[in-house]
Amino acid sequence: MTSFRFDKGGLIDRQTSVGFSFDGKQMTGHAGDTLASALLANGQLLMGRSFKYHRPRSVVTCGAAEPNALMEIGEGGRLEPNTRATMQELYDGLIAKSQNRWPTLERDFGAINSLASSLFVAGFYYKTFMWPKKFWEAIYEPIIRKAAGLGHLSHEADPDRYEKAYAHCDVLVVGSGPAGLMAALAAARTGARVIVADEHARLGGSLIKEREEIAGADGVSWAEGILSELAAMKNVRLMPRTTVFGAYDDAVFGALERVQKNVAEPDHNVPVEKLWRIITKRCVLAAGAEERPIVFGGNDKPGVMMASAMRAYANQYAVAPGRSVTVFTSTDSGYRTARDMKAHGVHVEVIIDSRADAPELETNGVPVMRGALVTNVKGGKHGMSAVEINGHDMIPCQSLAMSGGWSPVVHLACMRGAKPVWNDGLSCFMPPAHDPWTIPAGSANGKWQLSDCLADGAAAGTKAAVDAGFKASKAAIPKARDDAGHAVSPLWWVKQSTGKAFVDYQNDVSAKDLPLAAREGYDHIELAKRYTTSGMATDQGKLGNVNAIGILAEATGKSIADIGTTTFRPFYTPVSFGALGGQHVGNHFQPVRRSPLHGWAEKLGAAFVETGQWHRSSWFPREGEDWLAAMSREVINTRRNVGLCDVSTLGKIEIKGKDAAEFINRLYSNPFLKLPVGKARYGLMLREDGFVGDDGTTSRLGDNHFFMTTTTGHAAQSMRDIEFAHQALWPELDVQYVSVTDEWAQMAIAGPKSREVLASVVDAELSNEAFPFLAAGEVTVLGHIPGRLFRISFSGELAYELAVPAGFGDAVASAIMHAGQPHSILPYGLEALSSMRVEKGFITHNEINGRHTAGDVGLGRMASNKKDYIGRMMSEREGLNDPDRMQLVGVRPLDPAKRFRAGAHLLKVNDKPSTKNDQGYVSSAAWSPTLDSWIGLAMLKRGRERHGERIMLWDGLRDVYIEAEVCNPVFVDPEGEKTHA
Amino acid sequence: MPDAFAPVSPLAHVMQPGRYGRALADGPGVTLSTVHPCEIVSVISARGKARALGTAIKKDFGVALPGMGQTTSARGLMMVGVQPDSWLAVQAGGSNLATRLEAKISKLAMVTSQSHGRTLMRIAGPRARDVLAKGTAVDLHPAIFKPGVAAATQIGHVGVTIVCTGADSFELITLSTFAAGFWDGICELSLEWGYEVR
Repeated sequence: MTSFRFDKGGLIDRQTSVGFSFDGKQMTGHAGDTLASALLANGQLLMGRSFKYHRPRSVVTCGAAEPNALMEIGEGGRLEPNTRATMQELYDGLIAKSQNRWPTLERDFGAINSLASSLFVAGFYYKTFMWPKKFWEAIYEPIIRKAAGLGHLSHEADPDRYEKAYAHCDVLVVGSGPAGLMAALAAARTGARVIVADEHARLGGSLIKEREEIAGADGVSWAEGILSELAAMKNVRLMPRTTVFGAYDDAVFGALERVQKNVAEPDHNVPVEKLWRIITKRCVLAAGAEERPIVFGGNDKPGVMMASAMRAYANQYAVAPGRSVTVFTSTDSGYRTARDMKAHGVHVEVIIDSRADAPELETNGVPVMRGALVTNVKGGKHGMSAVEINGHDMIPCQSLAMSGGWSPVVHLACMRGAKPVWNDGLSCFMPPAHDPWTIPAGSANGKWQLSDCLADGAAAGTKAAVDAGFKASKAAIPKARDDAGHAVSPLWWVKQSTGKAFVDYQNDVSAKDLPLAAREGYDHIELAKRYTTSGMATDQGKLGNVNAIGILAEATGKSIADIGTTTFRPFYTPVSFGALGGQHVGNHFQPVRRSPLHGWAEKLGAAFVETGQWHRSSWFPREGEDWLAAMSREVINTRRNVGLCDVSTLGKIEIKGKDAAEFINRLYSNPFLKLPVGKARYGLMLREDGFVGDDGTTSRLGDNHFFMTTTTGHAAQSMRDIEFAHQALWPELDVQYVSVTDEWAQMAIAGPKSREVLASVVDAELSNEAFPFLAAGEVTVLGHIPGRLFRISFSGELAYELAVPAGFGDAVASAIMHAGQPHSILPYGLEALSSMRVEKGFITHNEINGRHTAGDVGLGRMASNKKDYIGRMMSEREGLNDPDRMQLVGVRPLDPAKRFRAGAHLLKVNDKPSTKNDQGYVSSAAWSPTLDSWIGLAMLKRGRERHGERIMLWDGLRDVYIEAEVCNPVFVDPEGEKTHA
Repeated sequence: MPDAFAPVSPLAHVMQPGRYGRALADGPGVTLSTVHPCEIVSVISARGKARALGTAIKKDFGVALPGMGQTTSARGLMMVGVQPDSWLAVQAGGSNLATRLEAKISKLAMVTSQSHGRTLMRIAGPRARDVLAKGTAVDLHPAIFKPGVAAATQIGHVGVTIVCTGADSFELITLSTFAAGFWDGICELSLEWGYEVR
């Protein structure tokens, strides 16, 4: 291994040692290291194996674009694959593992793929694994997936917490290099609220990677000065370790803050990552520029590195990939690496400049070969030994720095759909000009000189603040030492290469794959991307995309501008699912809604069921009872004695106003205008399209005062419908309404003994004469609690629903249970409620499912023809009145013990199951303890005239095929005598 | 059977006074509490009666009706503008607020008690805005979301009315059936800076 750490220099804390492990080997780095720099310092140049050919790879960048040094970090539930070692801060106890190798990084079995590389050309999936067809799922895909994985998951639950948060500002500055800092300063001085987000742990951008000089100080000190000035301003928020990953509608940006990715054992009180939604007025995009590689033979060998990355490792971390360097450049900026490395005492062999007409630049004595090309690199997994020049000359050296020009990091300016624009003079794609929210600055705006970046940043910051409504304030632009030049002559591909030349390291796409794709018809850049996989996976081609475009342009004879780029989409870099889920996991996945009687039911041992957000008491098992036994006991007791059931989840709406009766009359299909005060009425609502929408009861508590109930599941929608009807359809009506669902605890007291039980808790005369079926009124409960009593029944028994203010629900329910003891009262749950309603043939949203009309469900007489109401017009459509439509019936299996479920289809006896033969379906099924039989409600073609007919219930999913009889959907007490008792 | 029952708060089973979360040197980031009992009454103006309603409320209760997203307070009664021509009247304790309002303004407005249907929580402290920013998209900058300002928004998919009552003090009004889960959520979001339940 050739990489090493210098004896001095760098921005690391040499006093603080940090222990970590790589592939089980204990190593030591320093505070301020990244995992990548620490590995280099430990002589660990080999960091991974490539995706397809399992070629040995080392780190090539020192930032977000890293395609090679991807690691699994952490263990167990904390394991995170595909972490870029360049972005991973080193911490004590960090455990890193290389990926994509078996059994070890040193001896990797998959490297055999390299020998078969002629098989793995562009589109190899499509060409190689086509036949036989059934092999794909069974053999090819599993093998490919196993071989080509990018890291593993632990399949254990992540023990850490993640959170989401919102932030607001006037100016968001992305990047904290020279342009970003000046932009932030200029904007902040206007008084604008400024957020500076930078993906690195240490703010300062290129200033801490390069050896710069600003205002007579070195770049690092200058950046620190500006940062402390910004930190002291109340209107500025500095966000290190925060990657702005996406630009969304208007000026909303997504950002990921790595809060605790730099510690082994995170504080559980603090999220490990925070997903920010930053809502700003303007964004200054000072994200810098990415240096482009050069595509030449062996450009992926360990020891080959981006020129800017090499000097960043030297300047910031005091490490180098080798003790001698050759620079291969098509730009002036390659010379900078030669000078910096020399300054750190690393031997620089030669600068190979592809430009025959390269300008004379300061080299500090390093020789320059102009018009020469690197055609191959000699070396293996532990480092390189020599560079081949022009196909023959060998220059011994341990590392190679390559510099192919610069690409502004335009992503955030392009995620709303605008495409970057090729600039021939600057040889790069520039950010689109017409994004009103994003102002590019510095090298993200094609400014390569330091003084230009500072000035451009200041101007962008001022413009952003002024656009956001602030008055410009003067920010002096400091003097900076500039480079001699920044000229570039694009060199996309060294065609004379004698070794394999890679365009996309992460996907092992070689230069030859792109012309091949073009020849095979995939010459559009979007097609070429998918066909070759160039620019896919976790780095999305941050390094090689422009080279790929250049090569494709050459291959197709088009210009780079004509080829253009692929589409930019979030995320700029990968974001963990944990962060995207944020705090909404476990119990917080969706809101939990608890009835005011939840605690009461809990005390009685209820089993709860989740129905949407509600947790409802479902049955009240005694020891040894399953749901069926408990439910059966509850039904029988309710029908024989009395039961209490929580119905608080029903939607409840208070309606008042001069026109309240008229309003309600237009909502329901049946008449409500003349409902007397003190009466409840069952009401049916249609949707605008004429199908049944919801049902419930509405009671008139005063001339202009109504209390409406809706079904549990439809409560919110009904409220929306009512809002719409009033606001948009009939704003002239004087009516007010408000949801009181949460205000009232409501309980059904049902059974022949319900009257006696209630009489002892309610101050009201309850005789059949004084309070008959469908009576409704305000009562006093337990002497002091204001309640509302309704004589309505969903069970078919003599029954009441009693509503009391929610905070009294527990006390009142408990008092009723106490009073009911002599009458053998028992609580009953949702299962018993459902069974009893099926026994009575009452519909719910199993039947009100958007497919059925009032006529279908046997409520045709409730569709008034004497008034207008929502849905009337559309309900008169011919198809909705076809006599062949399905109609509500009951079904009873001939063998009462044979279970079937909702969803079973109805077939004529001897008919084969088919769409053509389909006669309808079972909408609700239940065990009827009253009849000792499974029973169901079903929708059957012309069903009402088919009572008594034998029919088959077919459920292909559960392999059920049983004979049943069509019957009246009201199984119990069809005359309703009990209800009226 | 006791003579009278006191209403039970939907937070009764989840609120445990004490210190939780990260223990920072300068004390808990927020303090969480609830006001119970608390009277919360919905007041919705009858058609065309908003102006007369404002006059009547001012005369009888001493408080001017605020616009949407604003609050006014007097004599312990706070009015919160929640929708066009719609307010919540909020008063700590139990003093038949709904009945008293009904007596004065029943011809001008629908008065509906929500004292049981809404639950009021308080969050206060130097980190209150940071905790709330984890849930709501509303801009909580102290210069914008200042005392007298209210917003109807969502935190963790639960609708909530946030009222700024002091420099770093807020009242949160949610539907009571969501209140326990909502409280849990706010507690969890407060762990980062530590919180005290009072």
